[in-house]
Amino acid sequence: MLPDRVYQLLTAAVDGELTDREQRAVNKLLRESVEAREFYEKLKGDAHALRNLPRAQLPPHFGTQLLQKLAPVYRANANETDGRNVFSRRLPVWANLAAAAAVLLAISAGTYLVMSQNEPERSVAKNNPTKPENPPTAKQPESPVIVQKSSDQNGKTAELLSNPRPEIIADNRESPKAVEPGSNDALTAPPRPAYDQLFKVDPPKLPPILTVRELDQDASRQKLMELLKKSDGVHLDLFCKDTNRACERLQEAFRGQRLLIDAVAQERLQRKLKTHYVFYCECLTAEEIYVILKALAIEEQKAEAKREGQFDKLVANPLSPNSVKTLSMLLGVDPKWLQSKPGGAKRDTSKPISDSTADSLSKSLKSGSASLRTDKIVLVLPYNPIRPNPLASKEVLQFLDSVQKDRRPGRIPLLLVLRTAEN
Amino acid sequence: MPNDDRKLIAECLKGRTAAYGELVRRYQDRLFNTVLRLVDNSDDALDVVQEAFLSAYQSLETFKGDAQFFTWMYRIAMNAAISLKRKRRVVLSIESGSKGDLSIDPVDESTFNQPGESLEKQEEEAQLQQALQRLSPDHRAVLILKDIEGEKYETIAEIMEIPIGTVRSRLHRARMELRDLMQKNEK
Repeated sequence: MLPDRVYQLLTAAVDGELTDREQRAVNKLLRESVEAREFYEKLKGDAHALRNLPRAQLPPHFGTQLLQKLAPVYRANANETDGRNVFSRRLPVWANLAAAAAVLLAISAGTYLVMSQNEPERSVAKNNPTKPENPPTAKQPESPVIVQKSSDQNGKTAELLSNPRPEIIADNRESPKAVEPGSNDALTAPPRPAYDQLFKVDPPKLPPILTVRELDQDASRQKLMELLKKSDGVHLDLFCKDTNRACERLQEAFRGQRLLIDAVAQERLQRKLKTHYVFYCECLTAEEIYVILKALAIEEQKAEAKREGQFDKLVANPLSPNSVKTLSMLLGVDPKWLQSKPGGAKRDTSKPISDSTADSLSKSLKSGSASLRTDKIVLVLPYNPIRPNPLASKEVLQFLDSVQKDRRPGRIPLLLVLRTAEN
Repeated sequence: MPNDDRKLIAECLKGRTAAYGELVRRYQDRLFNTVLRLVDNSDDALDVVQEAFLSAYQSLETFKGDAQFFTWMYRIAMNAAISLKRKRRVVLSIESGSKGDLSIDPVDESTFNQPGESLEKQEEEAQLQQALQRLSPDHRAVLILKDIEGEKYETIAEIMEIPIGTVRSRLHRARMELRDLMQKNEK
């Protein structure tokens, strides 16, 4: 049995990270001790065997799949950084503060200069509040001064008075125009731009963030209806505690419609896997959408009374190009097709569905598992934009077919994403 | 850090995901192999590697560039793998209850059964793999980084965020433990 210090030296020797002095000690040890030599060889053998373990290969599509997963992350980042230079976020805090201070200083200096230029004119206006009775129409030279010296000089005075006035030299320059009484700009012409309006900033328009249990109230209704009526499509983000339980509750709210729950979504619901779900339909009017949300609010109030509340906030936005893009990935269709107006463009025939997809559709139709009747169909999917081929889903195909037949004016595409509140 | 990596990272920060794809392709296999030794099965390894690349992408802005990109990636993946392994151990120990046989993890059969290899060699590899799996996650990690990845103490310290002295002592204990396990198998 060798001392522990020797074992430490030997393991470090196998690592190949000894100092010169340690190396000399190990060499000496290996020359002198058979036991140390044997142990060292075994350690080296272990290291060699580990190095030579066969290397595994990743699945060939790993990189592609990962990039597909990255796409939504990138979009989210891009939304955050919209209009900002990426590197600006790398600036230290002091630099941001200094920049803010400089901008404030510039604004203050500018305002001061503008005000100081206006000040003399305003003071003139204050001192002469009335309009002059005879505004000068031409520049006149000063009249000769008449001095009455004494009575004996009357004759001279009379002569002087009888003499014609010296010639008046008219100035042809345009005279300033008289300003109407009551005008704010009296005596301060020419008018200046309203500087206060230069600094007027319109507040950003935020999407309505509503509490689900209050959706039946008038204020919420008004906000929602305003959005629903003026939008070509609506994207609702519905935040909840547990998406699986919330999904079941939401299905009840949609009970007037025919729900097509995708097989993957069904499985995830059954297994209660943590999943965000998407409800999508194009069959509802603004009023009908509100009725569903109202029903959800009423159910939520009842659930809250039993301390089983599930929903939190509802964020409502018009359907943005980004939402359409995500949706197109989920459904496996061209975004342009999704945005086509009712009765307008048909599904992109330049991108035919694959043979396998067509086969699966025809089989499902023959077996009667898929019906093409055009009810008010709502599609339920797991919110997973990297699904390799959405058109492999029987439910998606069935939904797309019904939508194509059933697009009518007045109906609004509704994309509802059920999310957990912590994300 | 190689200039290529630096350029690719700069392009990623400008929003070009393709550049990140190149980084992924460059390091995916190496990372996967390392993680696979740590987590025992290829599904978990795949998940860990994927999560590591995703997290790295999301926090790419915080990457300062003073370390190698691969080292940084390693740190993210190793932490994820070790924490997964620890969680699994807790589950295993709860499930096995009073039987006491806590730490024998199943041998990964999915990846290493290469036809044409001699039976003896396969057996040796299986024994080594089994012994490796019995080590604690920390010991296993240093051994993998040193022997399989051939990293230096300094890099291992950086990846695992521990002092160099700790790397050395941990490696010593890991080698002794592995030798002990192998010796038991030989007997």
